[in-house]
Amino acid sequence: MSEQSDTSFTQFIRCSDRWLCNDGPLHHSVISSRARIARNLGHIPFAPRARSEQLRAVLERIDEAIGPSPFFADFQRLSISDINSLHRLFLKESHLLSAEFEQGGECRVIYISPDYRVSIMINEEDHLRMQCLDAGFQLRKVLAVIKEVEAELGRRIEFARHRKFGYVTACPTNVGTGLRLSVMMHLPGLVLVNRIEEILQGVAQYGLTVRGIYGEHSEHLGDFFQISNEVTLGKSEEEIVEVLESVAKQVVDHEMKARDALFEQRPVVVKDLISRALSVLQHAFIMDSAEALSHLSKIRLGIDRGHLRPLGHGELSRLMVEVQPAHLQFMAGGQIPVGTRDNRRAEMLQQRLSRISYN
Amino acid sequence: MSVEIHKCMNCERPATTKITKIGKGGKVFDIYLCDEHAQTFSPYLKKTQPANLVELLQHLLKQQGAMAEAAAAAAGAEEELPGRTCANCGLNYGAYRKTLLLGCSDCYDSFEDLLSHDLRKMHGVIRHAPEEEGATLAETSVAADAESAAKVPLVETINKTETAAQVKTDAAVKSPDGALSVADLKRKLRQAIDREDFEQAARVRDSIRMLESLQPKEEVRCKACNAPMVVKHGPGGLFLGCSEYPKCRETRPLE
Repeated sequence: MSEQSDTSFTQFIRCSDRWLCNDGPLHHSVISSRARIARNLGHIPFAPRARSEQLRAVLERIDEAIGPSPFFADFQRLSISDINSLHRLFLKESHLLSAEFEQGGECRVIYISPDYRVSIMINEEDHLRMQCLDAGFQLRKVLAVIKEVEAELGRRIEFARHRKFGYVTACPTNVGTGLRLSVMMHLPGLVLVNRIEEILQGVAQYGLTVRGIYGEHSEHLGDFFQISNEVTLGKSEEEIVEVLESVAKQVVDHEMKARDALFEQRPVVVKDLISRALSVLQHAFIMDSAEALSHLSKIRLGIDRGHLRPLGHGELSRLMVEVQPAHLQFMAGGQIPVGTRDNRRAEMLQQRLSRISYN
Repeated sequence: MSVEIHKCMNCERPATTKITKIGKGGKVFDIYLCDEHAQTFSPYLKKTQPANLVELLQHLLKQQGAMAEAAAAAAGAEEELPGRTCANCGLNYGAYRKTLLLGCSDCYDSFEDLLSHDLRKMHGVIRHAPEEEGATLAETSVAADAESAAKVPLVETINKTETAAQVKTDAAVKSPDGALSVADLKRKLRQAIDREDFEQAARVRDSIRMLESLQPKEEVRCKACNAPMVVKHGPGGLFLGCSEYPKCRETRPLE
């Protein structure tokens, strides 16, 4: 929680996507797992309806709870209004910050753990939003970590709870456990064999919902799908994790079957598809982030079957993050005007993929 | 979370009627209509058009009587609904309905009864898990029932999708194990109807139909090699294919 100089702050932000580049369990089709818990203080209006002094009071109460705890000693405390918009977008692209927080706002603070896996947002839609992220399929682990964070805070703060509804939240879609668990999946196989809709419809029947890569209101980009629990009321945390885990595993199985079928039955078609994506990335001079992501998705499929060595999943995950607008600019050392950004992205990709070929 | 204000699908006026239809395969879609188009959409929504003066008078009288009755029945509640306000934060229930965001923890007390509708829509239940303190025995069993019902489709639907559309299969259609029997599904159907969870009921109904249509097909054998035929999914939809594929490429349309 120390005050840091400008360069070390920049360094801190720069590393915020580090967690994403590890290879987690089932990394061939699960990019990351996330657990988020929403909690509120009693009686004080929820953030969207609170006045300045009420927001400040919430912030003070939570700061007081976090401050003396050795558990949070190494967490970095950032006030959103002190972070410039590029850095905010960078943190959002690293999935540490919500879209809501990226907009800025008063009395909004985020605490980030030294390994960047845990972030605690204060005065988001709810007074407290805690989340834990990790690469690959690790739902139980991220849930355990975030429960620990919650328990630690719960020792010093009494969270508002209703006798009938459980933990209360600003939006009734979160009431009960306040828990949202999600897995980010990469499902190019199911998309290619045209089964994705059917599978996602099946998923919807378990009270789970499917979204795009940046959560609520985001498009399906590059065959990436986020599956999360919709129901938070009337279910225990254990039940929520159990259902999501078993459904996600089944989706992974279907994806693997689809990939097997593709590579066995239509090897030339798949090779063509992946090589085309690679060629475009190696030779194009203008590339927006959505297009880059859709090509990288195909590349990822090729890596999975060992056709693009020495390129690995970790390096590809890095590229997927670095084609995002804020990352691209940050790596280049400052703002790049929109007009030249697509060119810079294309050149970066050319360079990074220059020695790769399908084999 | 924001709430869209829907327009009529046939004109630009704001919609006053929402019709939720459940199509094939449990696909749910909403239709939004203004008053006028709602009347043309369904005979049930049609206002009776009086033909002559006598009928008109009768109609008016009847309407008036009905209105007075309804007003008497709804007395206090109707008046109070749009105006109810949380004593702690001052949020009006009408304002909540627009944003779906409550104002403070006390709103859950202030609007406790009014929230049931939204909670049921969002979560399928209107109270938290049975281990929550204060839950009575009866409520506990209701919640537990809802949970077990929610858990069951896990096996069913994946099995269903598995049998309905195999990318690549090495065996015959999986013989339905306990979880996938028609009798079980029919029980689920009854439960879903009891819960008034008609969307789930429609899905279970489709599963039953699909299962019933699939069962006799297990006997079908390939004309070329006498291996069992299995249901497969191709660009043209479902068909029967030889389970020995790719060794045998025999196919047959699914009756």
